[in-house]
Amino acid sequence: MIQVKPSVEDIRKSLDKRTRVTLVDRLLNVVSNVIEHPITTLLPILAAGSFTLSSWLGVNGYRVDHANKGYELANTKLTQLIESLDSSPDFYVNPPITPAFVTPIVGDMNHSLTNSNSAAGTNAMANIMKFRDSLGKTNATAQTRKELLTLASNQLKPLAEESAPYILFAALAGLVAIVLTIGSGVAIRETSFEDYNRAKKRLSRDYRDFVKILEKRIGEGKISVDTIGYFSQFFSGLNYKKLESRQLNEIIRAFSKNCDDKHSDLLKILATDPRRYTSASAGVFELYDHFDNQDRDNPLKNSLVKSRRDLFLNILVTSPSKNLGAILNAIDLSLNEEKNPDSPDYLESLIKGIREPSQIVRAQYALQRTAAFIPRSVLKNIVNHYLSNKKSPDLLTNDLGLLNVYANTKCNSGEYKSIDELMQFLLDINNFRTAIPDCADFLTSGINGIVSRDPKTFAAIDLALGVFKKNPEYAQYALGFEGLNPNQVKDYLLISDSGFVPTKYLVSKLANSGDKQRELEEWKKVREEISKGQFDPSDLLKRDIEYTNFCKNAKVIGRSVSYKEYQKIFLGVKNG
Amino acid sequence: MDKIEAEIRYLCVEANRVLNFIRNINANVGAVGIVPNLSYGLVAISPILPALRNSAFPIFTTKVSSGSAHNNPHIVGNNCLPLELLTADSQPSFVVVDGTRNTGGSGASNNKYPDSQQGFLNYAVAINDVITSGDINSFKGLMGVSSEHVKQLRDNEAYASMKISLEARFRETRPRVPYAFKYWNPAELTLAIYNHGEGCDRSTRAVQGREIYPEMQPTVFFVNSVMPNKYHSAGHNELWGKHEPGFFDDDNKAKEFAFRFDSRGVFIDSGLGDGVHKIYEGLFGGIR
Repeated sequence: MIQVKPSVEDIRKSLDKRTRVTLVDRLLNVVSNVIEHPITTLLPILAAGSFTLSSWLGVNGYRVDHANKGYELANTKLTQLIESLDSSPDFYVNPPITPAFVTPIVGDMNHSLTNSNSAAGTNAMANIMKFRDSLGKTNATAQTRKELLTLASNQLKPLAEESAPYILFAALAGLVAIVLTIGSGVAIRETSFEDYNRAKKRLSRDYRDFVKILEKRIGEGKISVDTIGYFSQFFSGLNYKKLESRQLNEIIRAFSKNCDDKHSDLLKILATDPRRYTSASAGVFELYDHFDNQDRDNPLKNSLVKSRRDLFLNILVTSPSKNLGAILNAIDLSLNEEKNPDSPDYLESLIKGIREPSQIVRAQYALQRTAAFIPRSVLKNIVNHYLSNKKSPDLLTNDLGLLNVYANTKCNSGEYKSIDELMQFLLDINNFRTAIPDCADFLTSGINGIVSRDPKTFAAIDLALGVFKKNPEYAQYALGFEGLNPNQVKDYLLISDSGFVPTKYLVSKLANSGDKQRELEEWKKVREEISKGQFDPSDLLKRDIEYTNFCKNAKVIGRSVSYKEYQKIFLGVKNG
Repeated sequence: MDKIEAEIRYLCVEANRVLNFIRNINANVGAVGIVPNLSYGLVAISPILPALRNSAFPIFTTKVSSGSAHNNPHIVGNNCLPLELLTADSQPSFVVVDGTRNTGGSGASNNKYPDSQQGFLNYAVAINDVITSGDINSFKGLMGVSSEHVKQLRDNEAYASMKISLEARFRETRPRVPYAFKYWNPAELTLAIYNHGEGCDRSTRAVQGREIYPEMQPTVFFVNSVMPNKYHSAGHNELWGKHEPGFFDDDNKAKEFAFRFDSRGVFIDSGLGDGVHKIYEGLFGGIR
């Protein structure tokens, strides 16, 4: 099998068409500019039109004027002829007609008809010729002859007297053309036309420079066949449809700058899956050099990896992430043992592909925040769990205010026996905060006394979290409930799970009930009765059951959902 | 007759048509949840509130702001449909009522559904996404959305959060049939929508006839209750003067919502007060 050596031609095949400014590009550029600057482009067209019109009118004016002079001469001669024939009536009966008789008139008219072929002129000519060719000596013939000449004279007269308005219009059109030409000049000077092909032209120029550099390096023997092969493979595999000129330009420039064997290990990776690196290729070289330089200046000691550069290449291969910034931060953070004693774990998580570079960065920031309130030993467990379990939930990322204090207390309390439980707890808090904006306001607003780790407040959050897991929409109301004993908390959850927003009256009523489930079923029946038209505001149970409906509506219109506010609706209604 | 009273009368005419539309669905399909979208939606149905409450239609007031929906195809309404009406055995249809003064303007861009429609659509997409366990193909045709749009929504934090909440809600009782999404307005015009979402292609022609009640197909109907002047009767025009579409769209008084109670419990009414019910009664008879 014959191995074909990769050459610059292969790269040309991939890039030549994509970088060329075609005729279509140029036409589109013109069209785009016309659309963008309609007046500036319209003025020269109008000026050219006016010039053409002026010229046409001028030429025609000259010809008509010339013709009219011929008609004028012919008419003078015809008038003289008529006068001489009129001097003796016999002349019309027996005229001394010879061709020479009308020849001067016909000559003048022929000249005019050649310049301006008017219908009146043609008819006059025809009548004169009929006169010339008329035979017979009767009175009738004489009368016909007289009529023919009179008719011809009447036809010639207006032609002879007609002036040529063309000249005037030609002059006007010429003047307009001059004004438009001056206007065009000013408009063109004042307009900045856009070169919509600028990016492509630059791309074309850079591509040619790239090829020249490549050919030069090949000529000097400074680049191996393998490297050229990677180049060729990369450019033939790019998804050009998804690339803007600017992006392709950045890639070509980056490749021009790094056109050597030094980067062949990186090029090999890029060539394997060019589509993946489409938008990131340009920056990849910079990162490669950045880590390469760091390795030289600061050799790694006691690390899982001996070279940042190799780690970078490794991550490029194992991680689907294209976020180069995250890769940069993740490597920097993970190798910074001084700042981050857990760095080997991060590194291992990165290398094994358990965590993405962006997740590593997010986790670092999240842990910086939580480090202030979660004990070191607990934090280490959390970190280890996160870095070694792909399915472990993301770490807390929000600034949680009161929730931080609450989480701290819970983490220290030993209430959570396993790390899985603890992680789930942190995940619940995160979801809790995200799902209930009002709750987040409550928890982060720095309400007086909350930092004092008031157990009542924590109990309310406990309750709210419990409600949240089953009934997210109802969690908010639980935050207002402080000071419930454990049994009341159970009753509260039962009420909430049954679809009612608990009130103090409802909690107390359920607490005093012998059969709680039966009681709750009764309440559901009461709710049905209300929907069927049996609401009685003086009945406390009905009123408190209807509180749920009020809360939903009040929330929507941004009103307070407090029970006190609810009571105002029934002002004047006596309790039953 | 002053302008306010005249416009309340026009509001009553439009509300009456909405009521007939709701009754049409109710008679042919079954349970219907009424969802007035604040603030105009509640003003729009305020004349028919007694009739709706008397007929025991569940009314669920909600708020998907059109303002925040401008140019945002990924906006997701926050719990904006009354899912408590869903049971293991039945899935009601929903009629979302809203309106905009940009109905019947001079240009095509002034003839549109309120931008809030996108928030309801995306919330319905989230419901379908959860109940079909992410099978986009099973619902995209019903809603006129593209796979691309749903995938983009899934990257959206608010949508993801909404799905967590819906997963929790449907943990025990999960509806089976994905929802369709349709449009209607009393003038039965094909109005524009501004936010389609990438690759989405849905008809905004007002549903008519059998389309309104397809068999076994729970649907979210998005209603723009406003009618342009020329679709009101010439007689009303003569008596009440020219109608300004969506006159109460930005009217502060109309939006001074108040809680009231009646024999069916507590409800929220528009700021137009009880007078609007009386005018409606005068035009269309008692509570019908």
